[in-house]
Amino acid sequence: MKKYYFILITALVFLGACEVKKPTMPSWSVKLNIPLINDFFYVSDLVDSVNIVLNEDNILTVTANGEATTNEFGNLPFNPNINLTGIPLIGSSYDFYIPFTDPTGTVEIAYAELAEGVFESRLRNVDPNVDQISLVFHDIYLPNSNQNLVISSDNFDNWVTTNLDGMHLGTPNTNEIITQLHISIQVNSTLPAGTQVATLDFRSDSMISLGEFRGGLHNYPVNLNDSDSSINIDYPHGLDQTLTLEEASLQLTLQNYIGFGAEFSGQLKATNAAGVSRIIDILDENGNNFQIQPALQDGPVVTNFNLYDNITELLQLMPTTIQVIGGCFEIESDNNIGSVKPTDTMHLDYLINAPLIFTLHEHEIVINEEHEFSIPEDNRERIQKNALSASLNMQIQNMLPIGASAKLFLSNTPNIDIHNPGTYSFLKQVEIHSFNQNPGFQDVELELTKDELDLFASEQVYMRWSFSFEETGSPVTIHASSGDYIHLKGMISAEILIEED
Amino acid sequence: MKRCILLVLIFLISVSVLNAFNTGKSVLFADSYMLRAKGVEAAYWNPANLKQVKGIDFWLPIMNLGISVNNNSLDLDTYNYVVSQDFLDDEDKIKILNKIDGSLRSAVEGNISIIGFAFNNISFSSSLHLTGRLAVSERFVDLLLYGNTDSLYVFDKSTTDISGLSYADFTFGMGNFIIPFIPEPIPKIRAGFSVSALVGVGDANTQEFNGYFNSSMEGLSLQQDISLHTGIGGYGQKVMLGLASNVTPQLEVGLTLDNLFGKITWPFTTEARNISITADDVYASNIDEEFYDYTSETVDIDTYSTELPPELRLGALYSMKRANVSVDYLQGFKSSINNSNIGRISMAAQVLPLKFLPIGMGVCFGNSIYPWRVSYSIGLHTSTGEIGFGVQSIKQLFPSYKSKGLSIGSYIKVNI
Repeated sequence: MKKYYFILITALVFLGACEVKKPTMPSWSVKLNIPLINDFFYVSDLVDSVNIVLNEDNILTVTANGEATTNEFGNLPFNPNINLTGIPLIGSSYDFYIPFTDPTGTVEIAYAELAEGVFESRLRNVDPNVDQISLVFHDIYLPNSNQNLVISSDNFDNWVTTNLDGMHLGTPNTNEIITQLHISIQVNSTLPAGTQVATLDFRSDSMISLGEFRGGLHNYPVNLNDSDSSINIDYPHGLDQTLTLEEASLQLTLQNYIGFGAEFSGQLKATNAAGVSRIIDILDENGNNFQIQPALQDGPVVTNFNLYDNITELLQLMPTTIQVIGGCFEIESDNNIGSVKPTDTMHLDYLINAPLIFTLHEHEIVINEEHEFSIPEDNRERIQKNALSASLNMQIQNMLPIGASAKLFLSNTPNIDIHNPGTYSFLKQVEIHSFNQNPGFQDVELELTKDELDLFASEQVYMRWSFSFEETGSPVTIHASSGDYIHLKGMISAEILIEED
Repeated sequence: MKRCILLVLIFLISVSVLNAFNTGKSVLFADSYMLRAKGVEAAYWNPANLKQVKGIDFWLPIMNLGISVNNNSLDLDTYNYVVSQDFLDDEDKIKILNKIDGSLRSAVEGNISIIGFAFNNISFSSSLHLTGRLAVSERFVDLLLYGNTDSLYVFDKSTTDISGLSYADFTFGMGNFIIPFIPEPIPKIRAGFSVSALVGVGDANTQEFNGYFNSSMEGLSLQQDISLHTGIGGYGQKVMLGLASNVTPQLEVGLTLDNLFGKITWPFTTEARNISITADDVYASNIDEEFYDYTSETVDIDTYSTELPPELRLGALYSMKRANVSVDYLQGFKSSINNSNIGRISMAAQVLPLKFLPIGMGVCFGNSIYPWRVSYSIGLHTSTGEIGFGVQSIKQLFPSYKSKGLSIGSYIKVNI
């Protein structure tokens, strides 16, 4: 059998006379195209729904809103500053009037609850035939009653203090301003009528606190709490360093729960990240303070105001803090009758809007998201050992009206800080034309050196983008619809040596 | 017992690598063998010629074999060139790819006799057959040599395929029946038949191979669906009918119809291995452990059959005192792992410079899927037996570095 095979094989080899070389694998190079990224950077991604929003025209808008409220109106101080002496009292029945006005002219009472206050009275020179003298105050009513305040006294020659707490002055809903107190005297004596029976001293020179109030108020200030009004603006990607806004507006919404009209005055103070402040007066287009209508019986009056001119100047500072300072509602009823309760307030809402119509400055915007991808161990070794050369081919479509320079930072450690070269291995930069210059895809090829290529021999590779937009010189408007984006596609083309392990 | 099983397995594997011709000796004549087959072999080529004049024609086990390893593209010269290079440059890559026409197709075919004998007009025989085919798309080779320089690579079963079939036959043949009522001067026509019981060893066939590989700026996507059916242990049958006639004392013609009712059923261990790989829009920057879907399942499947489509063969043999020439035409009716529906012609000649020393040469012209080949043979014939061997060069006139494959065949028969 063996002989047979020997003959057969010998014959075959003889016939074939072929040399079969020892199989050794040659090496060769192949080109690998590996898709790297396909990212859309939408302008709308800047929207944080807090300080960056879209307006109705899909224009990216910086916005900030704040509010401020006055304290509750509280009790209205009133001091008629009355100090009368020697008022002759004629028996047995006698009416007289005492002036009862605010010497400062601030308060005019038609009706008021007397939360706190006193009258002081003293009867002197009382005739011995007089047993008792009663003073009836026709404008002052006892608490929860329609009965007038009556001061009866048989304690002559001494001051008598009458506590007014809870009483009310005048009748509700009246429009009659009380300028004097109507007082009647009732004398219990045997003297004939028309005889002077005593002398009255009357004082009301301490502060009376008025609760619910109806009447007139003149130049009465109600201050805003400044501390409540401060708002902070956070700009994504350092946007505040990048642009100067061209227009802005301020919308004020005032809610007046007080039944008096008022004039609002105040200032807006803006401070940017560098600590630079700018202050503007809150004035209407004619340079006047805003006038606010009194609240109605069924609720507050809401008044909206819009400001444009000064606000742009303020927003161009790209403030990070805005505050209303010196805010004040000055109540002035003129000849009208108003009303107020101690719990009434005035409230201010303000909304600042700045559509991103701006002049752009050269400033780098860093994309927060850092790409991370793992390189399998086998591939790491191959890249280290077999990668000959590589390039990064990119296609970039810029749908924005501004050109930019994009930088790609790569590292084998996370947390790339683009300002710290120690945190990344190398960077690649590409210029991106604006949509107006090139609406289609722009092809870019970036060669990678062997050292740069060796980065991909790391276990993890990290990648971060930054964009520097071109200085525009003139205003541009940034929309943030679904069609406003920068589209980056990238592919690594590497030449790899294939060889036997 | 284990040793016995192991030996049987080794035997089956070894014979599996050797098989797929009707008989090994046909290699010597590049398949132009229909009217040359005598004795036991006639049952596989034309049973009409089953006519043992004296004694018993005996097939020695294993000694009659044929082996062919070939492909449609690469030759030894290319192989030697590639392995002798340190580095393949673009010119080398072009050289390799230019040799591949759409698909690199290779085949292993083999046949080995187990035992066989013939006496009078009857034969009993058994042999083993194997056919293995592998096709690899040129695009795969392109990817391997150049990398993914194109954005899209599509693969399907027409260019990438793998299949294999191994079975044993147990054949009974009878022939030399003179067809009656043939009027003069029409020469006598002999008829014969053979019936084969087939025992399937194993089958593997690719049912589905579809996929693509796309790599562009839009990301990397790939999909590959593969379904491979396998069967181990089967049974089947086939029938061959043959006619032959000596038109003149020198000229003999014949016709056979093979593989009638031919099929192998795999009822025992049948499985489907389904593999699917899918990845969409993959970027290096967003890659994670789940960036692709891979499923692989092996499921039992129902009994299936491997069809052996019928083949028609026509042949003619012209014999002279010290030489003969033959021509065969083979036409299958359907393509399968063993056959083609594309016809092919083969021719052979044999001379006897000495009465006991036949020297032969054959050529098969091939077709679009069956590469052309040339055979050379030598033998030793005596009154008590025959021995011989031959070699076949694929797509090359002589076996050389340029051959796309090589077949060898041998035979040993004794007359008892």
